[in-house]
Amino acid sequence: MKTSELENLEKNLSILGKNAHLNIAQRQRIRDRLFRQIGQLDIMDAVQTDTDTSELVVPLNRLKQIFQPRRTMISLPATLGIVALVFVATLATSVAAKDALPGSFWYPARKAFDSVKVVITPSSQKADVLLSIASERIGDIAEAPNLDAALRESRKAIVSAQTAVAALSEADEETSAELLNKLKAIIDSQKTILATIVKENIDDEAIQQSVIAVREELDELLPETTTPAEKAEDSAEEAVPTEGYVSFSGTMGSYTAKPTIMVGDTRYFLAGSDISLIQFMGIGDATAFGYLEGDTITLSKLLIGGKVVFEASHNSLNQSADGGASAL
Amino acid sequence: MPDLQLKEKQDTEIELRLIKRSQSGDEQAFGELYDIWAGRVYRFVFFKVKNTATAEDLTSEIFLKAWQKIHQYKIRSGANFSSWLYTVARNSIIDHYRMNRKTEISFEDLPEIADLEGPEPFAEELTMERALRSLPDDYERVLRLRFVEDLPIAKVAQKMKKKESNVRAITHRALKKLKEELEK
Repeated sequence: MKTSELENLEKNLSILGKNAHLNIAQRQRIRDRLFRQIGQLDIMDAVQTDTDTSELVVPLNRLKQIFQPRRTMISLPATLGIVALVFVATLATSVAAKDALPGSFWYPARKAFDSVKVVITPSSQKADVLLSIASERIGDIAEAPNLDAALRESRKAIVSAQTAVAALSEADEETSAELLNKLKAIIDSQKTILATIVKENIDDEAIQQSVIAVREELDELLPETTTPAEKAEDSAEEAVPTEGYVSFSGTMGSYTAKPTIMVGDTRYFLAGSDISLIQFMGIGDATAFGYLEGDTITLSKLLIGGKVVFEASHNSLNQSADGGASAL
Repeated sequence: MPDLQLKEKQDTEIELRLIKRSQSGDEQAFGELYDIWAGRVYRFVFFKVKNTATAEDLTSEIFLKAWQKIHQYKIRSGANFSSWLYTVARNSIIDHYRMNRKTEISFEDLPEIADLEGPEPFAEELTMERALRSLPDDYERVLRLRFVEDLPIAKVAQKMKKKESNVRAITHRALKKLKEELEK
């Protein structure tokens, strides 16, 4: 009998052995490998079709569900760890994906990676991770080839982070206060970046409009931090004027596409300037002098960082004070 | 309706629901289909490739292909799911042989029509079991210890209370006899 025939017979006998039966560890190993590949297919599909993050999160959540099967044989964290490692390994092969900026080909892959990070992070730490992601997205704005896309992405990230912080605040007051400060810092840094963008693109109306929209949303993100008692105290100390000549210090902003100054919790529209005030949005060190009527100040002078950036001529101020029309 | 028939009917209905959900992209449902069929698919593959690592690789590949093609499976066509899955498995094994030409190709070992629920894919197991049982006791025992239980010669010698050289000689004669039985 030939050696090869003997070897074949020996192999054929193995079909009666225990190796012919799938054991628990093998079953789980194959399952892990299978769903890792399915997950990678999802990612590749998303990358090729430029899927939006919000849609991508759905398959990733489904992926998470898969690893909570009815017949879990290996502990869940271990399995999820494997998934995370695979995604890291897959995406780490491409530096382009890791550092991809909004508007570039690999950006959906980077977003997918972020989504995986969020999915596998325990609920108690999710807000922190979301805040880090928001912070990174803000960092992208200055470098992104597509400014509009970068603004959109950073805004989405901040909104997600804000939702997570709000959800956590109900459960854990101490942690949420810390996270809230982080969120505030992130929002402030985005406002500063937005102000720079506006300055650099003073003639581009489309960008100005995008920035205004982002800013208005940012203003809505932070919850009221003043308590009713503090408010009552404040109002007792100082009666807020509603009409007459005023000088208010606060933060430059915008609302319904009009320039504003935020003084404490109160927003005043700024009118009467013949220069665009949008460029100063986000700057906190602003002082407005002018005539207040209702919620609008007709500017006589505006100081930003201690420097006069606008000063009205006497004629125009008198016209405004007399009820004449003033240019925004 | 007898209990067994009722259970089969319920299982079929559950499987049908899982297939439909998988076809609409539900990965969790597909995970449950995997749980149901993984053991049989692996066994079918192992019988063909006789290698644990290759059988694992191919099983995962088969289920990945099944996931990618499950929308093509027509529930009302009359063919049951196991036949369809078996076809995917069979084609994957053929592809594996094609890509690894060093391995001996034995297409004749792959039946044309079969499903994983029927006896066809595992016919060779029955044939081998029958042939083994027809051997003299010593021959059957040495082959089971050595190749079914996968023990080293020293261990087999210890269990059979024989010298290793004797075990080698008996093994050789037993394999020769087994071949004759299989060719009958």
